[in-house]
Amino acid sequence: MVVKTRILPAGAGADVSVAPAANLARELISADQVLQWTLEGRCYTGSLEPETGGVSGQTTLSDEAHDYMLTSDRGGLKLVVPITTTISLYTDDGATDKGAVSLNLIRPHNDTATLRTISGTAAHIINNRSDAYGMQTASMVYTVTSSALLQASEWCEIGYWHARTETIEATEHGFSDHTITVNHLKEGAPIILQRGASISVTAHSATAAITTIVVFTWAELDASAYLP
Amino acid sequence: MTVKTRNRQAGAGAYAEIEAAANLAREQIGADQVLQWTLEGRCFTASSPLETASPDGQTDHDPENQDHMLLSDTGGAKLIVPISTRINLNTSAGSAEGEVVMLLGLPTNMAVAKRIASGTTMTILNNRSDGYGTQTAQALYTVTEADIDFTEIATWHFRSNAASNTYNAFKNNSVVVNHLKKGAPIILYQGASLSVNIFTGTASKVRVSFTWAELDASTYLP
Repeated sequence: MVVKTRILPAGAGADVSVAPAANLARELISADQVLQWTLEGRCYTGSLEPETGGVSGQTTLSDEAHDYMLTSDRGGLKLVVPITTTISLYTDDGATDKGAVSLNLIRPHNDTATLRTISGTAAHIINNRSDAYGMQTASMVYTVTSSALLQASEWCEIGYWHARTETIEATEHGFSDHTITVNHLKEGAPIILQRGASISVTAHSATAAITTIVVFTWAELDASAYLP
Repeated sequence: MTVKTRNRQAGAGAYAEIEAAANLAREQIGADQVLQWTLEGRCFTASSPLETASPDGQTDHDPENQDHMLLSDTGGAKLIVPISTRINLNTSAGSAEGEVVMLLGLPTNMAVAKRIASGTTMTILNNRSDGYGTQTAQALYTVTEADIDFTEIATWHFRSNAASNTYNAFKNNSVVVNHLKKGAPIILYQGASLSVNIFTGTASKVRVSFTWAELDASTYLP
């Protein structure tokens, strides 16, 4: 194998055969996979519009009401790969009540005549390559209602955080105590959303008064390039 | 060796001999192994079913009762590789001290019916959400078992009122064990299991999600 040393990155044309880059010590230089997706304009971040307050939670966890939802397109051309989910408790319910935040994977059976409906307010989505190269196919909405799932086996809880819900305002806590960042690629097995599958975040407490702010970051890959 | 630069993803046929991908600066683009397993439909996640309360914890360390268990098939066709285990303390009572323990179990009897007397099935989804591939492992909660030798591989100690009776932050009651990146991986094979239990002597409970990969034993074992 022959490698080519470099002291500065020198761009090559696309789809040409070249010797891989090495540093002056002849060590192969690897490219980070997610950074490469970002350079190709395949990574997106969705969140609330600036100056929007937190989204209210629910009284119970159910398959029909969610605070935030990221959903892949039903067409199946793209694989939606969640990279991070950041959940921040914005306001508590002011009572000595217990509550929880759930992060869920939803896989609807889309081979039925009745497709799952999803309604909510569209989130603000940007391409992580800031010249807006590429457009997303996934949708992110908040304050979500959706039709009931057909089977219990279409829903799986992949994260769950429990606390007393007056904690953000009634006590002194550190800057980061109420923010959770899930790195889907590094903490566990990645999730691949395809053909209408979703991840959702829902806060739930007896009064439903706690609010959260959630940021999803994801990549969209060509199904034809990755799946056999 | 040469690599082929790319500015877009282009699929290749299976079993074709091709040049590895590089970006336009000729840096080789690596593929994450676990993401690749996920693309191949080999990764699964199990949790308690929707709208189901967390199972009761245990009052003692009797290994015959397990709160949550991931159990490999006795057949031996698949290697079960735990990737991550999420544990959340979500109910606690009283002020007694408590423990959450993670156990590796090895069967002393290969007959499944004799090892698992009873248990409730957790929801299992393929992490590739079009449902490609089905699992061979079982994930159960509220398990009664026999004929398993357990070894404790992780312990978390707490006062059992931590979740309910004190001011606490959401992130303080949750633990994520990444089996591949923190410590040596575990491979469950031929009936071996991974369990999570809580012991307090009161009514403390945990919610657990297991994520694992299933690999072909014939491919990975010599």
